[in-house]
Parts: sequence; C-alpha cells; structure tokens
Amino acid sequence: MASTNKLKMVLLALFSLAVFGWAISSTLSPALGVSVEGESATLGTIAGGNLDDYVGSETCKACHEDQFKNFANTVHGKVAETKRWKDQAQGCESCHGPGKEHVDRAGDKTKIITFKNRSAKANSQTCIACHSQTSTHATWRGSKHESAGLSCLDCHSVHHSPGAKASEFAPFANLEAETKLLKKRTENETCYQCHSDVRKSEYQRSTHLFKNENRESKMTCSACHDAHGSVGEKLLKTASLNDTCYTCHAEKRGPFLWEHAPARENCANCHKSHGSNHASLLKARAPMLCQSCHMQGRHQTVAGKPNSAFMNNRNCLNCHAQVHGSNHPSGINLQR
Amino acid sequence: MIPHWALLGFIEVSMSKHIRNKFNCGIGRLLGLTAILFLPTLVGAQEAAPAGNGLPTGAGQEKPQDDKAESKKLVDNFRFNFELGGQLVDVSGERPSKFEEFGRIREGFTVRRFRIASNPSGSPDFFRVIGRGAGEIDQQYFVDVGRYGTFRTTFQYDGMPHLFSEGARTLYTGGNGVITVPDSVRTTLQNTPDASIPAVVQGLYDTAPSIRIQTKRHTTSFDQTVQLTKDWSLRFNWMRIQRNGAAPLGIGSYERIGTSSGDTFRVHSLEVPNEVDFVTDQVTFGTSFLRRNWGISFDYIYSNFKNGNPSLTFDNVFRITDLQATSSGNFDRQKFARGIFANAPGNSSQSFAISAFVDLPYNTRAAAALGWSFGRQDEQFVPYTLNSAIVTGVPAGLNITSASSLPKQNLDGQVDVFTQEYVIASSPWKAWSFNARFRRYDNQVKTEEILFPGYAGYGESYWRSNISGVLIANDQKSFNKSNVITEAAWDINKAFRVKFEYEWEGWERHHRQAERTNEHSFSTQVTFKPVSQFTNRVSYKYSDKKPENYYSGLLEYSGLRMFDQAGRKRNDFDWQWQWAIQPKVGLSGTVGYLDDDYDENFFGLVKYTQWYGTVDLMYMPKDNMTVYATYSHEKYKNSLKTIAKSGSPTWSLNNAWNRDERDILDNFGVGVTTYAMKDKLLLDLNYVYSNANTRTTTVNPGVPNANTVLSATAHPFPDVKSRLQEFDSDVSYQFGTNWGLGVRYKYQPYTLDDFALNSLSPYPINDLPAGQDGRRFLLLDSRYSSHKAHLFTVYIRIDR
Repeated sequence: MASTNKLKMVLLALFSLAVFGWAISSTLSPALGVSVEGESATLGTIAGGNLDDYVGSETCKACHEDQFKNFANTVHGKVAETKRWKDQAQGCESCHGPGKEHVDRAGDKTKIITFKNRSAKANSQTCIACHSQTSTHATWRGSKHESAGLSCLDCHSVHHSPGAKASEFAPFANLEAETKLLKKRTENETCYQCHSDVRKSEYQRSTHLFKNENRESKMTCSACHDAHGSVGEKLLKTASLNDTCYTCHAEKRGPFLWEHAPARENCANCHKSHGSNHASLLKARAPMLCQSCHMQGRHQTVAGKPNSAFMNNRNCLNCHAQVHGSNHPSGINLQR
Repeated sequence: MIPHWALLGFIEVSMSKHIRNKFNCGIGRLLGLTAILFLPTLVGAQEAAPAGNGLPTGAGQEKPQDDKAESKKLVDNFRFNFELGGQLVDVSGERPSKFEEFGRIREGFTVRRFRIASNPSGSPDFFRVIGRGAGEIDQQYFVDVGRYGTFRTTFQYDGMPHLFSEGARTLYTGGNGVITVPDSVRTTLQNTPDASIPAVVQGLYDTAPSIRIQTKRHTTSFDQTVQLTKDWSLRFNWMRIQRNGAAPLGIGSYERIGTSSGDTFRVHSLEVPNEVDFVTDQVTFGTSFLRRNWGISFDYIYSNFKNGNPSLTFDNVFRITDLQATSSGNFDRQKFARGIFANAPGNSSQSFAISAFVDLPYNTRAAAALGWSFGRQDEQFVPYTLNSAIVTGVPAGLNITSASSLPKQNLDGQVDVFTQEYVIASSPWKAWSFNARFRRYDNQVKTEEILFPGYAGYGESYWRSNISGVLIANDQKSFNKSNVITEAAWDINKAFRVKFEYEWEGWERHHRQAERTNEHSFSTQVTFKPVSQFTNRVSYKYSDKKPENYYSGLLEYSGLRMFDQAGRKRNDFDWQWQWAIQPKVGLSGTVGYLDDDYDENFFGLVKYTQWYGTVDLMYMPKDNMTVYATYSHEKYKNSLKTIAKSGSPTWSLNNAWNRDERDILDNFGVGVTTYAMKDKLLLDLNYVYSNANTRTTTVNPGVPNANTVLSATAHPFPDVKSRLQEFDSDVSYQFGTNWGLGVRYKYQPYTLDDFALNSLSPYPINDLPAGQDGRRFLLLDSRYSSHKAHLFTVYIRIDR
C-alpha cells in the first residue's frame, strides 16, 4: 500500500497548505465569522449590539413570566451565575438580542429576535456563538444534521424541556432530555421526530434499544451517535462502526489468529444495530445470511428441511461458533 | 476467575429467590439500604415541611421552590422523590424467558425509583442522584454533581442481565473453564452400540436438571470534566464493563453419508454452557482548547479486555478414550475424549486523536482530525488438540497435544489503525452552503504470518496439513476505506431548500476476493416548507459500486460474489414530513424505499429491497393531557441465488436453487398521559402491538441431478411469526402534599413461532429429517417461546 501512503501524505500536505494559506489571508480580513441575517457574533456579548440597548431579564419577566420561570432553573438561566460566562451573558437578550426597542415600542415583535420565522442557519448560528467553544459542538459545522438544514431548535427547547418537568416521575427516561434541554421528553423520542423508522426497533425480536421495567430507555441514541457531528460516518462517535461496537463488545475486537474478514471490516455486514426481526440483531436468518457469501457446499441446508440440524437452533453456529474470529490453532474454519 | 459455584449459579436448578439474590450487587444493597433508612426521616419530614400549593409531584409539574427561593445553597434546595412498592408477577407459557430477557423483575418489595436533586435558582451548582431497582439484579444508579461552566462529575452503574433461557438442560457441570460429564456416562456411551445410544441418552436427559442460561453485564463509569479556563477544558472517563455467567456454545462437526439419492449427514454437536468472565476497562483522557474561531482537542483512549476464561476444556459425552478418525475423508469425526475451545482472547487498544478547526474568511471553517490506534493481542494459544490418538500425517516429533510445540506461543497480534478526516464547511453567501470532506480509515494488520504444519480437523479427529492444497497460515487481512463527500445546499427561499451531494467510497482489501471496490453516489435532497407548520424533506440517492479484480479463491465457487465486495446499484428514496395542524395537533411521517441490485449473472445475494412507512400523531387537547399514536409498516426482501455442491461435476447448474426471504413488520402504539382532579390524579396508559412475519421460499430453476436430490431440492419453509403486545397502565393519586399512592398494571403477551426452535429439545434425534443421523447431536435447548405476563405493582410516592 505504498501508493496509498503517498496519496495520504500528498493530501495531508495539500490540506495543510490550503489551510495555512487561508489562515494567513484571514489576518487581512476585518471580519471573522460573517453575520447571518444581520446578526453579528462579536462585540463582546453573545447576541451583539450596543450595550446600552440591553434592558435585562427582569424587564422581560414583567411580560413573559411563565417563560422566565421555566427558564430560570435551566443551565441557560444560570449562565449569568457561571464563572465562565457571567461577563458575556445578557440573560434573555443573549439570544433574543437587545430588547430596548422592543420594550419601548410596547412589545413590538419585529423589534426583537424571535426564532420562529428565521432560517435554520440563523437559529443555529445564535447557539453556535457560544457552543462552538464546547468540545461536543465543535464538529457541528459541516455535519450531516447541519447540511440537512436542521437547526438546534429542531431538537432542543431552550427555555425549558418537557424532560425536566417529567424527570421526577421517570428520572431515567428523562435524564438526557432534562440535562440536554431536549424538545421531547426523552432523547430517543427527540431523534424519532425524523428517524421514526427506528422506533419500532424497541419492540423487535432482538433489539439494542433496551428498556427497563419502567419502560425507560437504557440505551439512548447518544450511546453510539453524536448528533452534533463526528469524525465517523452516520454521526457515530468513533471513526468506524466497529470501533463503536467494540466499546461494549471488546471480546469481538481481536485481532484473531483466524479472522472473519467481513466481521473485521463492518459489523453491519451481518447485524442491524438498532433492532431486528431475527435473533442476535442479524440482518437475515442464518443460514440464509451466511449463504449470501458462502455456497452451500456439502452442507445440507436447502434440502435439510426446517428441522434439519443445519437449520435448527443456531444453525451454522451450531458448529461455526467463532464467526467473529478464532484464536485456536485448529480454528481455521471458525469452529474452535 | 469465577469459582466453580458461580457457574453453577447460572446453571440454576430453579428460579428460587435464593439463587436470584446471588446476583444482587453490593452497590445496590447499599443504596437500597440507604433508601430504606432514609424513609422514616423523609416521612417525618413530611409533617414538618411547610404546606405547598397542592400541586402533584408527577410529570408535567414541578413543585415550586418558593419556600427556599432565597437560598442558593444546594443543601437548602434538596428535593426527594421515592417510589417504593410491592410487585406481583405472573408469567405463564412453555418457555417464557423472553419476558425477562434483558431485565429481571422482582416479586415483593421493590424500589421502583428514587431521585434526590438540588438545582437552586440563581446558583450554578446542581446535584442529582437517581436510581431504580436497588438491590435487584437489574438496577441502575446515576450520580451527577457539578457547577455549570466549571466542572461536572458523574457516576453511573447499570446492571443488566441477559437471560438466554430458562428450562435448558445439560449433562455438564463445572466451572473455571473446565466442564465435565461423569466418566461412567462417557464409558457407557462409548461402549453402547449406535442403535442403542438414543435410549441411553434420552434416559440421561430425563433426569438432567432444568437450568437457567444467563449472563449479567455490570457497567460502571465515572466521568469528570473540568473547565480550567474560559477556553481550556479537561475530561476524564473511566468505564468498566464486567460480564459474567454462562452463554450457549455450539461445538460440532458432521460426517457425510452417501446414498443413491445424494448425501445425507451424521451430525455431531455438543452445545455446552460456556462460562463467561469478561472485564473491559476503558480510560479516556481528553483536553480541548477552544476559542470562538479556532480550537484544538486531544484525546487518548486505553481499552483493555480481559477474559477470565480464555479457553474451555470440555468432555466428549460419547467418548472416554481418544480415537483417530479412520480416514482423511469425512468419516468417524468428533472422536476426542476431551476437547479444548479457545474463547475470545484478551486484547488491548490504545488510541490517540487530535482534532482542530479554524474559522476562515467568507464564513468558512476548516477542520481536521487525525487518529492513531494500536490494537494488541497476545493471549496464550491452546494446543492443536487434546486428542492424543491423532498420529496419521502428523510431522515426526510434533506433539500436537502440547501448546509448546506450536510455531508460536501466542499470536503477538498487532493491528494499527490510522484515521484521517478533513472538512471544509463554507457558507460564503446567505443562501449557499458548501461542504467538502475527505475521510480515510486505514486498518493495517501488522501480525506476522504463522505457518502451521497442519491442524486437528474433522472434529479434532484427523490431522490436516492443508485445505484443498492451501497451507494452514493466517492471512493479514488489511484494508482501508476512503470517502470523499462534497455537498452544496441552496436555500432558494424560505420555502425551498435544495441540496446536492456526491460521494466516492473506495475500499482496498488484502487477502480478500476483490482487491478494490469503487462506489460513486449522487444524491439530492429537497426541503419544502410551504408554510411554517408543514415541512417536507425528500431525498434520493443513486449509488453504483464496482469491484476490481474479483478473485473467488480456491475454496469457493468461481461464480459466487460475496455481497460486501460485489458490484451493486442502489436506489435510495426517503420522504419525511411534519405537519403541525394546529398548535395542539402534530402529525408526521416517513416513507422510504431502498433497493440493491447485484449482478444476477453471479451467485450469492442478487437483490435486496426495503420499504417502510411510518405515521406519528401527537394531540394535546388540554395542557395536562397528551395523546399519541404511532404506526409503522416495513417490508424487507433478500433474494439469494445459490447452488448445491455435488460429486462430479462439482458445480452443476442443475443443482441451482433460489431462495427469497421476506420480512413484514407492523408496529402500532397508542397512549395517553393526563392529569385530572386538579392535577392530583396521574394517568399513564400505553399499548404497543408489534407483529413480524418472515416468509422463506425456495425454488429450483432446473431439475436437480438424481444423486443430489437430498441436498439440492427446494423445500417449503413455514413462516416465522412473532408478535408482542404490551398494555401498561399507571395510575397514581396525590393524597397529601408529600405523598401519594399508585397502581401499575402491565400485561404482555408474546408469541413466537419459529421452525428452527419449535421442535427443539436437548436431544432432537426424533425431530431431524429422515436419513439425518443425530444420535450424537446434543443441544442445551436454550430458547424462549411464547408467554403471557402480568405485572401488578402498588407503590407509595414520597416527595419532599
């Protein structure tokens, strides 16, 4: 693979050069972070604008008491109390922008930033102004969800979360929703807004979306995925699907003396990670699944009838138990 | 190492509570005891607590903290919620293990859940402890304490059983990687004529105890994040996953028996309870320095997997002395007296990752991530076999029953992975966004090749120095995968957004069939939002994958194409829509279709199709009432084209057969959550229906050769059906400011009709098809089937 190594080096060099060149050019540019729809992300405050135009959250409370009360106990409501943000946060106006004109004009909605009719990009930009400085959100730009036109507000509820309200009743179900200010009561339900085809996996014959006896999810989407972007495909937290699986299934990691290459390369060659109509999250029943790559050979599987020793119980795995790889000197056929 | 009794613990004779309690974790007992000790204090505190406004403490409302509003201290703002109760469980059915497959439900006293939390207004501090099932085999705890913007510490524990089966049976006992069958049994069976073996074995199983096959997973983790400065943060995580118990393991072989109408088979298989003793430790350390316009992060991960039982030594139920197979053919297999199995080897992995981003002019961000990981495995090899009778073909002086005679004592396995990702995301104009991404995953196997003089084949009964002329050596199956993805999105106006995407994915593989595959994909996505309440997102993707230099190898039919490396054309369509009919009614759905077309001129997987549709409804007639309903319908179909092997010619097209496997799934859910009687009454009802049907059809396009009708003739297969229904109701009433009572009832009927399991028994000799010899075919009968379960809980809620 000498040629691929050269390719890597060339790509790395080109990328570095491009970034370096652009970075140098940026020092000549007066504006870092082009504003979207007139919003600036500079001036030392989160929302921007003239400091004299801020009226303070207590002023907002006078008319928006419910929102204020819900907001107060959230992490956003406490930003002003934190060491890190207290000099920058402006309460409600951190996101909604300076409210002086809005107040002066008896609550004119056109004089305050509202999020209902703004573009996804503009809404996200407001959040990213702060959250790009957290390691979990630094990969949002260019991520699948961003490029699909989603905004932070498609999943998050900034003022309050239904999960927070419900957390006393079902603490595990609502834990993620409460701590992450999600729009739905649970994290999985938040994702099902768009990925509703995954919901059925919770009740399939084999599933990864375990629930405890109180019907609370034990395995949330964020156990494997990072909705804000990642280096892996399908927003996986690791660089490959197998690396994600090995986190909990390290016994499958090997390396083995006798590898089963499709298993080494991609767990999804055989498994459906969310849930399956078949045992062990398999994509299809064995031996049909195995026969996608292996001819029947001398094994009696088509004529063996449903009760054949090659069809019953764990079928191929009745003998080839080490389908993920074997470390036995006599295990070349993945039987030991 | 787990002591002998621990394995026996998982091979329980019955479901006695005494045995159940063996698995109760110390942490759980401690917390459970703490909860109980706190109880009188809490109840007492109830009287002393100032009267609230009568609002319930259930979902939908939080108690105001006005009485402590002036205090910003954590200690002054603690709120406690406990649910303690008693449960009755009634489960019926032939093999009802599915009900507790991933969760044990205790009868009698239970700590349903508890929460101790403090989140004072005006303070950045927070504290939260939640738990459930204290003292039970299935229990969870979460501790979360921190100060926003400064630090956060979390601790989690989750104990989760995996029940494979109750009612299984085995002739084995033992532990610590050694399981045995009494010598007297083995002597008897070795000396019993074949014709009499079924009666003897059946007699043994008649008295064999019923056992439980189960593992338990304990996951413990500790997280610490610290914000050192405004820009600089540290993170640390430690996670330990322990898994112990026993899981089913099949160890088998077969012999071919020629008849005039084709080959039939004699099956040797010993399914055994394999003791599991896994521990995985993972430590992660990371740090980030992030400014608004640039940032850099570094992460280090160390993961170590240790198997307390790296091998399993097991007796052959049918032999007390070793014997060699009579020839190099397919006869007299599985003649060892004692076998040895290599379990998953211990291994470790270290990963380093560095990532950075910088914002550039024209609203552009460049990001890069590089990662290196090093996997190692040096578990000691087991010997080729313990069968000392194998001598034919064994090189002179080679003691195949001793690991010291192996070419190497361990694999010294090394796999290095180098990952790269570079991203440019730009939005130079308000309406346009561009992304370009290059990603590469380079998996390099650095393990040295080991050339073995042969191996103990045919069920550890005969020495084989090659397989069809191929020497016995491990391959270095390195591979790499590269992706180039470019996207352009155009926000035409507020109603329309269009995205175009091109992706190239290339694989290079060593020691596999296709040296290289290239896949080009083109996709487009249109987002249409005619009004703010109605959103549509339609996407279509076309992909074309082509292999280069496909080589079938010596061991597979040249007409076969393995699907992961085969040429493929894919069409993928998806439509998502969301409609907020009015503020209180929401309707959403998806429709999806995917088909994979492989080259039908080859054998193997030739077509895969997938279709699905979902509809979700959410209705909130009142602020304190939510009604929801979901429905999904899905259909999958695999079409397989294959061929049965015969004597001469080896691959006759007359023996070809096709198999289709079609799955249909329907899922329906409906529920309501509401508060009534001034929010004192909480009602939570939920019903789920999930039905799945798998239909397998096989056909012969031609007429099988006369001497292969047993192995090449298509047969009908019964449908496989599973159906889960679950009705769950939870009603609670808040009698006082600090306490309430609740009743929960759950009913879950489940049916499974699977031909592969229906006729199963520990000794299925009478269920095998005519001509198939299963006299030495022993199973655990580890399975579940249908059940009906009722769960009734009465609980008291205590809040403060």
